[in-house]
Order: sequence, then structure tokens, then C-alpha cells
Amino acid sequence: MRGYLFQKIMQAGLTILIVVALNFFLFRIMPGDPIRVLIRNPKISADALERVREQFGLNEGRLVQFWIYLRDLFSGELGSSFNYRQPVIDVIMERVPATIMLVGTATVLSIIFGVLLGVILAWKRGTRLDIVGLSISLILYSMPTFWVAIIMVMIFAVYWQIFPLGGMGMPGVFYTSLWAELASKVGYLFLPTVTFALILVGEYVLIMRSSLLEVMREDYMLTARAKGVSNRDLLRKHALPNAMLPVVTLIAINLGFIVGGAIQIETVFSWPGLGRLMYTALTNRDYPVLQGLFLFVTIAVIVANFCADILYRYLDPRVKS
Amino acid sequence: MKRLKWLPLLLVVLMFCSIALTGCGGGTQESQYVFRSGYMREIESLNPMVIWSVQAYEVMYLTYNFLISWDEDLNVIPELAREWEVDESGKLWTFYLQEGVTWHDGEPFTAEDVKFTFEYIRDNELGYFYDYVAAMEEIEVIDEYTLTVKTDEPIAWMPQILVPILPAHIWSEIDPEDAEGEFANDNPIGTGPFKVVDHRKGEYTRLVVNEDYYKGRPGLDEVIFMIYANTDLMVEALKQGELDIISDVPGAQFKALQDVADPNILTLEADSPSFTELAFNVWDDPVSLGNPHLLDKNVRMAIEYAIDRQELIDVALMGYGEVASTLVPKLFEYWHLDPGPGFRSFDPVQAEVILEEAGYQRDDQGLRVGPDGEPMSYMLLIRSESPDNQKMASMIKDMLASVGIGIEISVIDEGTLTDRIFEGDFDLFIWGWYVDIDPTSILKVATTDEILSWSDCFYSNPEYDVLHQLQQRTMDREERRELIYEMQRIFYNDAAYIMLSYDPELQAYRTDRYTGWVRNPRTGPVMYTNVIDSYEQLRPIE
Amino acid sequence: MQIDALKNERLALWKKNLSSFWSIYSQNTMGLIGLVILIFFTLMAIFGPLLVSITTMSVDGVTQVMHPPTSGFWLGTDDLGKDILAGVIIGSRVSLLVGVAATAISMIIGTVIGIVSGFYGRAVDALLMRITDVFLVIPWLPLMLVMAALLGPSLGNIIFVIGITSWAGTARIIRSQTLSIKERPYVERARAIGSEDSHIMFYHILPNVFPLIFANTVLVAAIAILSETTLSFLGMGDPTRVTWGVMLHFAFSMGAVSHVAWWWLLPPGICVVLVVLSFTFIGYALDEVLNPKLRRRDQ
Repeated sequence: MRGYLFQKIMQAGLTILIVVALNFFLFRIMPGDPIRVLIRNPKISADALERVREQFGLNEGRLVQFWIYLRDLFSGELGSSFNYRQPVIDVIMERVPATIMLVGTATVLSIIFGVLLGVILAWKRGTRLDIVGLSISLILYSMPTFWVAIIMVMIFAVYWQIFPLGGMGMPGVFYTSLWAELASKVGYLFLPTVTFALILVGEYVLIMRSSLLEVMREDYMLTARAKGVSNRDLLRKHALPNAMLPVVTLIAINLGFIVGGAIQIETVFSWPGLGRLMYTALTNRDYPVLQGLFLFVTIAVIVANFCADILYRYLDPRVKS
Repeated sequence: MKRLKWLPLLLVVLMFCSIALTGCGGGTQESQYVFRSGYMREIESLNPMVIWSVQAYEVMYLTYNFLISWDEDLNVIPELAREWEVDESGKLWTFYLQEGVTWHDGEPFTAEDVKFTFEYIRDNELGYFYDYVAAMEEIEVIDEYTLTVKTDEPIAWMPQILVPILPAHIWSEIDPEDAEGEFANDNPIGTGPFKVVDHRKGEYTRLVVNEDYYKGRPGLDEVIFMIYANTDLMVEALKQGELDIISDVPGAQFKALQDVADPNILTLEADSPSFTELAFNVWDDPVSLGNPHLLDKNVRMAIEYAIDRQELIDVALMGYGEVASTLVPKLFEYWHLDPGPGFRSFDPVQAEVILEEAGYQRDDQGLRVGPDGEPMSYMLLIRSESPDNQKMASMIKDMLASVGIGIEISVIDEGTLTDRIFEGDFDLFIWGWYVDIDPTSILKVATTDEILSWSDCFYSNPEYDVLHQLQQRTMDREERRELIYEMQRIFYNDAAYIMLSYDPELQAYRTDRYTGWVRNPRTGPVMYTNVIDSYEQLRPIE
Repeated sequence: MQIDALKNERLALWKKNLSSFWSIYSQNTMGLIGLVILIFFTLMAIFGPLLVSITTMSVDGVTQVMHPPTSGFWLGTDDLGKDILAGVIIGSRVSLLVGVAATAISMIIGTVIGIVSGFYGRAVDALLMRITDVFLVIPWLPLMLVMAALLGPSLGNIIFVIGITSWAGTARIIRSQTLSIKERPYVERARAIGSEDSHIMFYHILPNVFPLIFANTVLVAAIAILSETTLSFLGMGDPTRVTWGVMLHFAFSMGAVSHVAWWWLLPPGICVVLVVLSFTFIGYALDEVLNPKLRRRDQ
């Protein structure tokens, strides 16, 4: 196990390094002088231009810039946003809670329902319920995230005005009680979260179902049954925990997909999170923010994958024995 | 298994409870008069030195005051400067400032603040404001409320110094490098009618009223700018009463709002000093990467004759706009030059005549070939940010094809377009300008000095340049106008731009909550204009 | 002579495999449904645009904008009064084309890297796998968005971007399969004879990973179609071409939601869902068919 851990750490570390380098060069080979974007005021004296160049370190050669970039990175500095003129770290950190709220709630919801439905479908394998359930899951899995979001908004916020049109809340409103405030916040959270959960749940159902079916065929299940363990105990104590392992890894693997989904959902629902930030930074050509976000998200995914790998290895019954 | 079953069910029930409560809306209450303005772009910063978006400027106008303002007829009226005069040389200005004005933090406003602001910006060449103070040689404080400014030359557009007056006691502590850099100015102190209290990037910016505003406390308690990620939902929010106003409504949604004719929503097609133009690369230099055909005035004029501008407006802009002619928009009646019978309106026959006579003959496929043997095939660059421009471009392509000119359209983003312009790597492009009240700012775009700076077509005409210098220093209004007329005439004759349309500002606002909307200029918009009268004068409908 | 006989034998084997493959496949309902849907859309993409042209609906000379479905315009009109059904049909061509082209690029890259990496092992393998890991780990949409933004909105760029970013999964799968095939006797024999590496990779390994490639292609195609739709929706697509994604982009930005113009918002999306579903169904069916022969990779 220790050897495995070490190997995984090395792999993750190397991947991170490559990503860091790629991140840097990807944004430097872009067409267009970032200075022009930065300044936006074409009427600027050559001196002022030089000053800004220096300030953002765009004067040095590529390799020197890379070295400065690495050095800054290790001290936790991600540069300064072109658009906001604030440190990129601050800009990113401001948006993290919003995205975590959205993604976290959606993931929890989709896992709960995914596991539940997956178990039910596996239990009722081959019946009409199973086929219907499978079909719905597959259909949900095939839907573009933004499309589902638009339809939800159209139905629930425009046609039936049950939910707000977007955003995280309404500023300048006074609530008479804490409960009212909470209810309102949930109202804003509801539609984006449910939409996201719908997108994710399909895959969890499918994986849970097939994983459970596979597990039920395993030898140790037969052994347990032969020992006289009841059906319910069989399911709860033996099948489920093992069947859930792929789900665990799936969460980590899905992180990349979740980022993509977050961008779409936050754009449709005007949700002030990292996804929206990425899109805005893209259209504004705010390279430092883009770079920082990219790195942030990618490293998060790498770390998540790493944890999932370790967790999987630790929990896998085959390894245990 | 059983235990698991209850959890999600409980969650679902909880969810529905919350929804029911939200749906009732019984728990929320607005105890103040809050005004909500919707917008699409983020307000990038509260620091005036680094902002560039229309919304950020609007927040700045609410936070800070200028020395002057304008009335509905675009006459200059007092603001922080209640009176001013200039001596015979035209170079020494004296400003008498308002008394009893206080900053948001309670400190008194004095002439020191004005002097500090001008010098701070001038000495550090800060932001967009530098142009207004560059010519100030010496600024002196005579007494607490009197200030003199000496310019190195007579300047016609003084005192329209569009510089926000900053508090010396705050900004003197700010290192000029930070002023243009990381200083966020999160707690802006100004003299304006509203003060920013909460700025959430990407979400909203909230301002509360300045109780001690020198013109009197406004009727609104709060102004909140709310960001939406897309226009459609923003319009819907207006319809549902979540917003009070949205500006820059896209043509399609504007039309839809007009058709719905909700009595509580007023759609305003306001005159605005912005226009859309088709620009040529007229850089007469071998370094230029533009097609040399375009250096021939005949080609440019022919293209102008071949374009049906009214059709462009009707289809691409849904009818919102006016056929444009000369450089200074029609909105500025005083300065705008009507080209009269010399106007090259839609006349494809004439276009063909000109081309034929200039030696551009059609080949077998119908495409014209120049006297140099090269086909008349040009690249038209279009901004990806503007679907309207894209629609226009495909229409222009068809129109020019019918007179034998081939156009290839390339859609790129603004940043790339700016780069290509500065490299001279283009034939034609479509873009637009938003013009200041004083015509100097738009006229200078065509001067030789501004090439690789504000100029974007490389136009260079020494006669024009001379006139530009002259008009800036001509203090007599009528004399100045003659010069500006002549400049417009020259520029129009040289046809470096084809002015396509004078674009209106499309706004929609609710009329059931507040009253007291002010349009400034008279036929202009109620907000996102050069003054903040509406914000100052709106009050709730009792 | 002998070589000819060998080739003929191979061909006959191929044909037999194909027919036995079909007999198994046709028993799978999902696979059949998927195939039918795919054929339907392929026909639509090939012949549709020839039979249909985008007309504008006007009543009494007034262009009917955002009009619900009528007898003449089964799917109503968009913000310019244009026929949406025609748009959907014409859009199918480019949408599918982008999907196919991007998939082709992705598969070629993925297969080459997978085979080379698995075959050579050690240093080459380590290097290629690190690179593959990087592409696996970078979130797909941000990477695609950034590249599309850098390169500009054109069809070619979109195809390129999608192809370049989605090969990693394929490479992994092909590589592991290559690793196991590498040890098989006929490969050993070929090596012993002194066959060139490229020969071995092309004639021995490739045919044996082919079924796996086939199954994987279908799934990648599904992702490619979804990617193009998403990219176009977010404004990175070519606005001058009609694709389902571009239609949704204009629907969203031109007021379809506040108009509750379901006739504009639903059809392009449904088409995408159907095509992706068909690929997924076919993929599942292929998996089941090929399962006895190959070990299926779960994660």
C-alpha cells in the first residue's frame, strides 16, 4: 500500500507540473498582444505602456516570464487580473463558495437519488420498471446541460413564475425573519441545483445499477448466501458497500465534467460562481484570471482523482483480503 | 435500505416547504425605496482610473461629481463649479465652487480637492481623464472656494472637464502606481448623490443615498445595479417587476416589449451619440497589409453608393436607427453637418458608373478587376460580440456582390480586431463610436496624430489636422462651428469611413413605481447618459 | 501464391465474423433502436438540405417573428421569421459533420498514441501516459472554450479543438488492450521473424484492437456532438453556419425563453439528445456483443 501511495503521489505531482507548464504556455501563444486588451485605452503614451508592461512582467523573454510565473506560484501568487486589477487569488476565492454551494448540493442530491434508484432498478432487473428507469437515465445522460437549464427556466421561472429568474439572491430586500431569509435563499438555489442534479443523476443510476449487478454475481456473495445471510443483510452489509466503490471513483472522475456543467448552469442562471467567472474572463480576455482558474480547477481535479484512487484502493475488498 | 428511503423523501418535503414559503413571498419586505437597474456586463472596478465599461462609469457618475453638467439642450450648466470665467487671453480660467458641499465621510469639499484631482491625474497620466487635464499648466487655489487654471493654449472646450473630483484627503495617500493598479477603491468617497456600500463582483453593486447631497436628498433610498448573464432573462425580470430599468435592450427584445405593450413598461427609443461605421484601411504606406485598391477614393465612394443603409437599418437593426452621414452625430444639432445634395445615398447604378470609369471592369464571372489586374476582393472584419454587425455584414456582402465587388467576411473578437487594426492588417471592418458632447473627441479620431492611438483607419489629411488644431483654440462658438463644418466636409469627401447608422439607445423602464424621469438630452435616454438627473429626481409614486 | 491464399482466408474470416457479429447485434433491442435513429439522421443530413430551403414566414407582407407552429411552418419561426424545421434539417448536416470529423481526429490520435505507448513500453509509455493523464484531467469545457476563443469561431477550429481534447480516454483503453495483445504468440512470432515495428503494430495489433476502437468511437462521437452543441451555445461556434448548437445559441440570446418559444428551444435540443442517445445505445449494444471476446473496462 505504501508503495502504491508513493507511486500515485509521484504521478499526481508530475501531472501537476506538466499542467502548470502547459497552463503558462497555452495562454502565451495566444494571438493578440495582451497589452492592448489590458489597456483598452488606445490613447496611452509609450511610457505608460512600458510601465504597465513591466508591472505585468510582459517585458522579459518567455523563459524568464515562466520562471517568474513558477516562483510566484510557489508563494501562492497567481498574478493580477487584467479586468478587475485585483489579485487573481482573491477574485477566484470570492466565487468559490457560490460554486461549492451549487455543485455540492447537486452532487449530494444526485448521489442519494442515484444510489437509491440504481439499487431499485438492479433489484427489479428486467422488469418494465427497470427498462423505463434505464431509458430515463440514459436520456438524462444524453442531454446537454445548458439545454436542460434553459428548459427549466422557461417552465418554472417564466411560464409558471414559481422560481426566481436567476442570481443568488435579491439585494436590498429586508426579511422579517431568519426563516424567511433561508427560504428565499433556498428558492434561488433550487432551480440551478435541481437542474444540475438531474444531469448528474442519470450516470449514477446506471453505474450503481451495473455495479450492484456485478457485485451480486461475485463469489463472496454466493459464500455469504450459502452461510444463510438474509436477503436484506446481504444487500446492506455486503453488496451495497462494495457496489458503491465505483460511485466513489465516479465522483472524482466526474469533477472535470462537473466543471463544464457548472459553467453552463451558472451562465444560464446568472449564478456568481467560478463557472461564470471563467466565461466572463474568457470574453474579456482576462488572461491572468483564466490561467489561475485553469490551474485551480485542474489541480482540484488531480487531487480529487488522487484521493479517489487511494480511497478505492483502501476500500477494495479484493485488496483487503 | 429502509433508513435510506426516508432521507431523500425528507429532503424533498423540506424542499417543497421552502418553495411554498418563497412562493408566498410573505416573509420578505421592502421597507425602502430601492431602484434596480439591470445590466449585462460586470462592473469591473470602483476605481475611476481603471474602469472602461458603461456601467462602471454610471456608478462613478453617481459617486462623484464633475465641475459642470448639462441641461436638456446640451448647454453647460454649473455643478460643483457654480460659476466660471476666462480672461481675454483665453488661457486663464477662474472657477467659483459650490460652498457647503461635503464628502461622503463628512469632510468638507474645497478648492484644494479640485486642484489635487487635476494635478494628480495630470502628473501621473491617469486613465481616460488625462486628456482633459494635459493642457493645464498651473492650478492655483485662491481661497477655499475659488480656483484658477492656466492652460498653455486657449482651449475651446474648457470647462467641460469630465474629470471626477476626488477627495484629496483620501487619494493623496494612494500611491499613483496603485491608483492605476491594485487600488480597489472599495469604499469610494465622493460628493455624489449615492454612495457604494456593497460591491459584489459579478452579482450586484449596491448604493445608498447620500442624505447630505448638496442638491438635496434624492427621493430614492437605494440604487442597485444587478447583473444578469443574459439579456432575455433580464428583460423577463423587468416584466416581472424585479427590475426598474434596463438599458441597451437588443432590437429583437425591444420590439417584443413594444408589441406586448404592457402599460407599466415604457419603451424608449432615445437619441444617442453613437454610430456604426464601415471603415477602410487608407494607410498609404507599403507596410500596410490592406488592399491597395482601397486607397483609390473612387472605390470607396462606389462602395458607399452601393450600400442601401436604410435597408441595413430596417433588417439588421430592426428599424432602430437613422441613416448616418457625417462624423458628428445628428444628435448634436449645433455641430452636425448635413451634407446636403452631395450625400452619396443608395444608388447602385452610380456605383457601377464610377467603377467603370475608374477602370474596374467586370470579368467573365462578374467580379470586377482593377487596373492593376487584381480582382476587387476584400476582407471584411466583423466583431463576434455584435450579432447586429454580423447581420449587416452579410447584407453588405450581397449588396456589393451585385455591383461586382467580392467580400469575404471574417468574424473575430474585439481584442483580435484591435490588434489587426493597429498592424494595418485589414481591408474593411465595422465598428462604432460613442461620442462625447464636445465634438473634439470624435474629430480627433481622424487626425494624423492619433494614428496608432485613437485613429483606426490611418486617415491622414494635413488640411484636416490644421483645422483640428485651430478649432480647439477658437473660443467663439460660431467661428468654431464653421471650422468643424469644414472638417466634416473634408472627411466626408475623403470617404475613409462610411457612416452607416446613427444608433439609438434602446431603454425600457417601469412606470408604476417611480416618477420623475428626466431625458437628457431632450430626445435622449433617461439613464446611462451624460448626466444623472433621473437618479437625482426620481421619487416614489404615492 | 501463399500470400494470396492467406489474404483470401483472412477476408473469408472477416466476412464470417461480420455476419456472426450482426446476428448477435440484431438481437439487441437497444442497438437496433440506436441504429435506426442514426440512419434516420444520417439520411436527413445527407438529403435533407437538398430538399429544403430556409424560407421566411410572412403574413400580408409582415414577417411573422417567433411564431408558434402553423400548417405551413410545422416548427414555427425564429426571431427573423425563418422556418425552424428547415433550420433543424439543414443544421443536421453540419452538426453531424462536425461530430464525425472531430471523432475521426480524436480516434486517430488516441489510437496511435495508445498503440505506440503500449507497444514500446517503458520511457515512451511513461511519457505518453503522462501527457494522456494531463488531457484526461484538464476539464474538457474550459480547455475547449479557451482554445476555441484563441483560434476564433470557425467550423474548422471547432472540429480541431474537439478532436484535440477528447482523445485521452481512447488512448488509455487502446493502450491497455495493446499491452495484453503484445504478449500474444503471433506477435512474438512476428518479432522473431524480424518484422518491423510499424508492420507489427499495423497488421497484428491494430486489427485486434479494432473492435474496441469501434465501440469507443461511438461513445466519442456522442461526446463530440455534445461538445459542438455546447461550444456553439456559449458563442464559440461559427455564427454564419447553421448547427443545432448555433440555433440554440440564437434562441437563447434572441428572446426565446421570455417568449416561451418552446418550438424554437425544444427541437434542436431533442435532435441532439436523440443522436447522442443513438450513439450511446449503439455503444452499449456493441459492448455487449463484443464482451465475450474482450474484457470490458469499467473505469
